[in-house]
Amino acid sequence: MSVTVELAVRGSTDPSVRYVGWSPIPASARLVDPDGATGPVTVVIAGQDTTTGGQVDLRATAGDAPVPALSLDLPTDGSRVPFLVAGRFGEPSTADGDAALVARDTAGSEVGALPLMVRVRKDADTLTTTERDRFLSAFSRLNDAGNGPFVQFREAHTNASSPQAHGDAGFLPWHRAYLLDLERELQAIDPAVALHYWRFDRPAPDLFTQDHIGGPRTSNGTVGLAPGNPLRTWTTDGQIGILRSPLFDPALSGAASSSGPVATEGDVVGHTGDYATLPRPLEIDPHGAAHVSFSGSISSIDTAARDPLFFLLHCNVDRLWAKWQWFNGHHDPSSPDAYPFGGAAGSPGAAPRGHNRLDTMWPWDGDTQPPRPPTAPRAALAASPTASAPGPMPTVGAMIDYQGRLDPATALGFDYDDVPF
Amino acid sequence: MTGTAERQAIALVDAVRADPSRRDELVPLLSERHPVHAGRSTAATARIRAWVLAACAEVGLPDEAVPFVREELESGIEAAPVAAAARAARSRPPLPDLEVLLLTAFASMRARDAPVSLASLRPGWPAPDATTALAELVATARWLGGRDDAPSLDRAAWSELDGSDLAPDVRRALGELLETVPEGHCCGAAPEAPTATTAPAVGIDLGARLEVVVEDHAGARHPLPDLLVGRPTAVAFFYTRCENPNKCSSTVTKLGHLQEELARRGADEVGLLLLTYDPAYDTPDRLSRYAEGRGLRLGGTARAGRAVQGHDRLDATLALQAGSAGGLVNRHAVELLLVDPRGTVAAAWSRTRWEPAEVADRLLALTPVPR
Amino acid sequence: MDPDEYRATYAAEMERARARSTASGDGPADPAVPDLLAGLGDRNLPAIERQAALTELRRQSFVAIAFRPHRPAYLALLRELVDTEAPPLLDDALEALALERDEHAQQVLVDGLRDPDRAKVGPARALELLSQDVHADHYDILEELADRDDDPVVRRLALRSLAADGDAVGLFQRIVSDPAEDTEARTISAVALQSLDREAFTSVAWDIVGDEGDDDEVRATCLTALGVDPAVTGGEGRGEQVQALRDTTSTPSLAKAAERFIETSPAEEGDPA
Repeated sequence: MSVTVELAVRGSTDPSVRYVGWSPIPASARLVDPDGATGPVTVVIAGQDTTTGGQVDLRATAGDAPVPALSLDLPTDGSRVPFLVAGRFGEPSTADGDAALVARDTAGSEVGALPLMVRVRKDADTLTTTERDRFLSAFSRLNDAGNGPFVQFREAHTNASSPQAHGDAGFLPWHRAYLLDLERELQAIDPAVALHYWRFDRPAPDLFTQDHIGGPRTSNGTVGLAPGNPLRTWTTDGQIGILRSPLFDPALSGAASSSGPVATEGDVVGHTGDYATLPRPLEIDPHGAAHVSFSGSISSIDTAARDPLFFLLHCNVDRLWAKWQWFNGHHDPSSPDAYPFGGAAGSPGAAPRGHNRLDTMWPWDGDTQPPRPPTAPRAALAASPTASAPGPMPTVGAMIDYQGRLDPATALGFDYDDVPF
Repeated sequence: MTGTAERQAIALVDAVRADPSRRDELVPLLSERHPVHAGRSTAATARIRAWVLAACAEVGLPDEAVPFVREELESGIEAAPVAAAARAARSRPPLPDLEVLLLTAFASMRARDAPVSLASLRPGWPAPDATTALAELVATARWLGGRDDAPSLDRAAWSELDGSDLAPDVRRALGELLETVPEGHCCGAAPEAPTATTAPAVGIDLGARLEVVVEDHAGARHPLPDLLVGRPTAVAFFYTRCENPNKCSSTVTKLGHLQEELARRGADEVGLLLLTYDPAYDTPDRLSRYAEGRGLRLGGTARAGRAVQGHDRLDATLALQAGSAGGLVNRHAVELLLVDPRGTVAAAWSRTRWEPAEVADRLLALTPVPR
Repeated sequence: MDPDEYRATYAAEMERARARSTASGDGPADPAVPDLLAGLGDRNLPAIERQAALTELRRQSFVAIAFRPHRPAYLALLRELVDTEAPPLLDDALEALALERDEHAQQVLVDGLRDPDRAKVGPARALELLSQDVHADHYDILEELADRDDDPVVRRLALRSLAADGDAVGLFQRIVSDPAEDTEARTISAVALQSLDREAFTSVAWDIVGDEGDDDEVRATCLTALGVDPAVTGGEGRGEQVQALRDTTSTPSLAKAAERFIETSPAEEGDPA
């Protein structure tokens, strides 16, 4: 007897939904050809049996511990049997489809398979050549020599919009939404791409090169980029190239300036206070300190978003928040430990609009009334085939439980390689 | 450049300072089309305007310079011209809506304030007369509050401005201002801001004679009259590299609001046409991305475009208020035209903000469409 | 990796780091901005201390709202440093102001470009700093600088700045098409042309990519640029042309550009394979 099993994730077999992080997502198996069986057919679902590529674990229900394989009885009427699948922490993919769900019959024969990718944000210094090149290529296509949609991201981060994103509790949630929006645009170009981070408290010899985010500056003042590097066409505000020169040696140390090295991961993650005491020190150091460890565009709020490295820097700031959340257990949006709440904008004790948990955030909310800027260059946050949250008009609170720990429906569809579920 | 135009401007300003009765001669220097602004950077044109407005403040602001003061207070983002406009407003009887203008400028400059010296065109630093835009705005409010010919200030509005993000001297000045404003003030009806002007553009025929060809956001080319004749049309000017969010970006956002307003009123026949000041750079891709990113839905009778033929004629005919340096626009006014179904300019807003609801009223008054 | 084990290991690492650290609590408080401004302006202090004060000020300026009350005094002091100091503080102050599109700094830089006797920094550094504001005050001299053959670096920087000028399309077309030109000037011109006039670039770029006698760095840059344009496909035989190039070239950057083009720019449906 040889049955045929259809495996699906997120209720679909469509290639666009076959991406997982560390958070469990719904999956299912069903018999599409029972091959004459009269009663339920037992199959074993597991990840791909290889030692390379992304690995997945399974759960029968949300409360279960993850296991490498799951035995399921599939009814002959073709109805779906649900289970959950998640990337196995520490074993992400390096290529699209290098992970899989595989169904085998009791004799061990493969009776169904679904390629997957365990897609997470990684330390940009550790990418494979292919990962790096696909990332740079998608980024460059988004910029499209200054003609592409990237311009809206550049316009959303300026002096004029700075109070929406800086100087208060919303600093971290705003940038989380901003990075997510950008990552989704990159994934619309190449779904195998994630936004990666620059771990600025460590040397990054493979990141600051001509083949990656840019090597030492050339005689024309811009960073050196190899002729085959897609960033070679990077253009913002009508200016080609990237003006950036580190004040430290990125091959030998983390970011540093005349004020000394930036704060380390341990300084942030080990912060034992609640959220209310976190963003301000973090915003100055390591965030501000990492920005001013260069001369060039990245060293000023108004011009920083001209440099693609800016997004890798902020991705690391976001990772530090995510890791702090994980280490200290701060994922509940309604807990003051995870986010302070003094009321909605305008009420006594509240933060400025856009910094309170229930507030929507500019520019995605389209609010152009003072004190918001008079224009909103990203009319809606990009949608994703792999996450329904946070919708086109995100709130501050929607950024907190990004893994959907309390409610899977609120998962934002990204993970970091070193922050487990 | 420190060229002839700048030397002549310096000589003129000096002469007017010596003889204030010649104050009207300062007005042309404020226009983006004056040769003193040609080829200059946005920052330099702002500085020149600030210097001329500061001279106006000394000799008395001419009536014809009032729109420039209003423009700076409504939409300026550079500290020097906003500071100079605030100062110039004190040199004549109060504008009817001055308090509203000051409050608007204060909100806009709050995040952008910078040190300003208005004593000369090329000040050195440290500057003995250094001030800031916020300091000048509060000083003008103080002046306004002390006038017998102006209603008393709205105490609540000014006290709401206080905050720890203000510089110590501005906070102090604001506190002193509030001490002079009586409690329990009721400001009455807000004064009317000026509406569509009788700018020279009104009455101009944008029909066939101009031979302007517009390439729209989808890459299709149309003689300009084909986009205008047969329906009332709002024509707004902008360019995608504008760095003043109170101008182009806001214009396009408001055109999107106008589109919604017209849709609510069932006015499908009305045309919306965004034309760029910068046709060499603003390709169809850039135009559509800019417009749609700001909520303006392009398609049907809503278009963004560039004049690929006859841009100079259009510029000269309408006397568009935009200067340039190299192939870039440097500084410009906010400009909106309402064109009737025959292709004639029926109303124009120049240097002043416009409100979508009022523009919708005026557009609908231009119907019915003659066929 | 088991997440629980990972947590235990991570917690132990954190504990060891804490024990090693000599810092107490959350570390020293950030220095007050007025003190930093005083330090930056104090001519009796060594330049290195004043530079450190400036770096700290720039770091704190990222918390925009908290920094706002000090911004006018900060900018006024930077302008004073531009007018009165020598390098390295002068250069640091010029850059901090250039990033703010400060008119005073721009004027000083443009004055120096027009009259080298007044220049506070060299022309290359001035052009680099001025390029932070596309609405610049020196377009009239950029073309002249772009014509200079005595200083290739200044020439390249001038070309880079002209990439914002819609009137410079013809200049870029001429330079990118001229094999006798400086390679760097040609690659800058290629990218500038793509930004300003997509159609003109695409046409000239395919000619260059197809010319085996041309400079491989320019060919690779053109092919890379074609590969990031979503409108360019491998149709009309381009895909085969690029495949052949990948298989035959001995220049790694050109092979890489070809490989990437093949990956990202498939032939459109209906195109011949």
